[in-house]
Amino acid sequence: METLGLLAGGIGSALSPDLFGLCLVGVLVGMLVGVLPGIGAIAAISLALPITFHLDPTGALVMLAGIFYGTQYGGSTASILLNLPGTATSAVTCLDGYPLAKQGRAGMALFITTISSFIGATLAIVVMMVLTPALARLAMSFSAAEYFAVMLLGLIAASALSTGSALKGFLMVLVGLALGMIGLDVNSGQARLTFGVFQLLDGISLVALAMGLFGVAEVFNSMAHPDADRRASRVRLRDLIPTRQEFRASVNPTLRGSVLGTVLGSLPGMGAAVTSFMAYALERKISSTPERFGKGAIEGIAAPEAANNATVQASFIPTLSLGIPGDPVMAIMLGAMMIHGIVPGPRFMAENGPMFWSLIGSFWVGNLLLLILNIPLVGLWVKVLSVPRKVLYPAVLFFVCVGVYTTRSNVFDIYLTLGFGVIGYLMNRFRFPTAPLLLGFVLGPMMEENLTRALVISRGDLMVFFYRPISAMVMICALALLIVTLLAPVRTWWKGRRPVEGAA
Amino acid sequence: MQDKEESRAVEACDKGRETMKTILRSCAICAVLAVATTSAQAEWPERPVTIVVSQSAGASPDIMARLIADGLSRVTGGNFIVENRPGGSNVVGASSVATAEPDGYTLFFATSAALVTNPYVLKDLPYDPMEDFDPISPIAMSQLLVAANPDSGINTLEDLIAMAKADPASISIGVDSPRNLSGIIARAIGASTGTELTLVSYNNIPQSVQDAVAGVIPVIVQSESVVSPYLEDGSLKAVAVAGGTRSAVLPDVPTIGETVAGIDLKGWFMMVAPDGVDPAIAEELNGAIREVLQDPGVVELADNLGFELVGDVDVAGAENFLGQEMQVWANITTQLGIQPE
Repeated sequence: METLGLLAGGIGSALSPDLFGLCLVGVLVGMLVGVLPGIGAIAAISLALPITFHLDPTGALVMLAGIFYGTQYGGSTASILLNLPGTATSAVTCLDGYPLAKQGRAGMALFITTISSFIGATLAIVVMMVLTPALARLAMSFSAAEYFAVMLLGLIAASALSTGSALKGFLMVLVGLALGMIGLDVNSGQARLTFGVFQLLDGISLVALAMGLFGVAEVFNSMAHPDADRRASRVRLRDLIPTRQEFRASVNPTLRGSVLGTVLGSLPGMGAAVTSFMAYALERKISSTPERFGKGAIEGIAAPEAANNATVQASFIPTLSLGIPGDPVMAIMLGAMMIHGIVPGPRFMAENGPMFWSLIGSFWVGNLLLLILNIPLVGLWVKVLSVPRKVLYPAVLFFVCVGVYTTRSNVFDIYLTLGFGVIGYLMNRFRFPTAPLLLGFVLGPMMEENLTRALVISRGDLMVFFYRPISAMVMICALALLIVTLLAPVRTWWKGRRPVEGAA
Repeated sequence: MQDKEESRAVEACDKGRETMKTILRSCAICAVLAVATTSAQAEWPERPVTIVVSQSAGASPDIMARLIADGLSRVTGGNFIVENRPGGSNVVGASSVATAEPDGYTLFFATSAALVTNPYVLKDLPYDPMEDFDPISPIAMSQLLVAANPDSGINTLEDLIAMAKADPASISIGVDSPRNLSGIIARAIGASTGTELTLVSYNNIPQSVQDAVAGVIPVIVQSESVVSPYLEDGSLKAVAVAGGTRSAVLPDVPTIGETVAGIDLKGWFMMVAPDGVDPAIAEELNGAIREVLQDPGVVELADNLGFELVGDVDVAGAENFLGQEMQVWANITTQLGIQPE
């Protein structure tokens, strides 16, 4: 009851003209930046950071936060329409979103992702209001062993990501892990696989890899097959509205994605890029018709989009309550708070109560604004598909180059992106799946870091993963999943064999 | 100088002309010359000045650089812009400035890592910190702290050393990397006291703090700005500061040097220009930076971020400072047997 009163106060202050204005500017900028391929939240927030020096701290946070969650709404647009992730966190939405667009269902897909984004974010905000202190305590009990266990589970679940040959999928995970090793080794401080190239010391940029493998590869692909021209879809309002069946198919995945995104997102270090992959893997794993994934399954877009929005909201939990930012974007937000003399941490809620509740209030207002703004825009975005390809693709390549460059101001990253574009094209030609590679790349370095750290702290005792209760639980799930996955072919073989035996 | 030119102008104009006209004329020329001479000095900065930061936007060096850029724009009336060139352990940013025109329009907000750590830990560094840059002014110091979990039983550096000696390798110490400032501080403590400390490396700095607060590791070496909120609420305990002098913010915390002689390691920021910059511009920039560092607003914000501003240092002082720090790092890396790789 008390919480409701505080929330009402927070919403009230978020609706005051200046905070409302800053929130609106934030979400608008975020949404646009999210739609443009490559330019993600980091670039936009760091550009906006100097402006906030001159704002009061609450206003500054409201605007920066608006940019951050705004990008998650826009991110799926390019994924669905062009097979080009608008942000790295929407890469997995390409897998089923783009096939849907090819089937002429782009409008419906965008409608579903907007709704599931809203539901994911809303659920995470509710959890954040009620459980911030409790979740902060849970996050504190996570150390290297637990992180490793969760990521191992994610990686095993992700074997579900590959659509064709399981062997090819597994190989691509390994390639991703190897690519993730490039750069300075955290344990020895020595350069690995950089071949003397200084630009590689910090590793390959995730943005460059994702844009190259998905976006640029797709551009090459359609240049190589000029006859397979896409039908320019005529968009009518009723094309946007999902059928009853499509709507029903998306409800549960959205809820599951929201829960997964919220829980994992409240752990520091679990960014939205990871949770969206995990949500996708989960849906595919529990689906009774996993073969539809990768060919336009609604579940495959609803769950990850709910998850990445939930994660973005939930990542405020560790930042505000522990002072521990979950990802690079939150690290910038933390910097913005510190510059105003606000110290996030265990005492933040007690000392800055009104600010906390205004921020929560602005999340509601901002997400509602995004929902209202996005639905009419869906029709506009879908028109992008009817732009002639000779205009569209050069423009796409241009935006990709600009976007990749802005993330690190590094020309080298543009060459990397184009290189990965060629590799991605060849992979598509020879039917090697790209998503497992990306997942191996995202999870690999974090897994390695946490594995070695857990072992250093335990002095090399491998049982460390089973001593701690949370870690032990997750490890057992991971191993069980591994056994089930490995047994699946055996089981099919066994099932196929029995009738023969019976006949004999 | 001006008077001489004025009188020469007067002479030149005097031939066969009315006195009144001459006076007017000479006045006009005088005015033109006066404008010309002041603009020779005020010429810089006539267009935007780029300050390169070798960290990504939002990192604490970047925020500090933006504060200084903001102050310089106000003081000089020019336009100072921060450009982030992160990557390659500061190498990408540093080498881009090393090869830039020394025209005063490209500056480098250099970290100690770029100027004095990299030469001793990275092989084939594409720039030479002493040859390729002209120091302008040091800006701020960032002290690193040795901080312990309050339940670890470690209250002083002596406790830490005694525990490590009693049970070799019992102390895990959280650092960023074994080959950067925090790791080298930890290794220096071990080497100087003949104890064995197990280094645990963290890519993600906040995670190391979290592990120390949760007691997964007993001790961390981390910057004051990151640790200070946890000292306030008692979830971590300050053991020692790594610089040669005690921190202004934590005057009760001893330095490592008070227990283990010879350790004076700190992180800092310094404004440098590409080698060969016009000394007049260097002087003017130095003056402007010193003025910015006096600004109470800048002092307060830097304080919030956990940086100690370096007061008044002229260009020669900046060069001395860089030379001394270079020597400190040459000594410590030799002592620890660290080779560039």
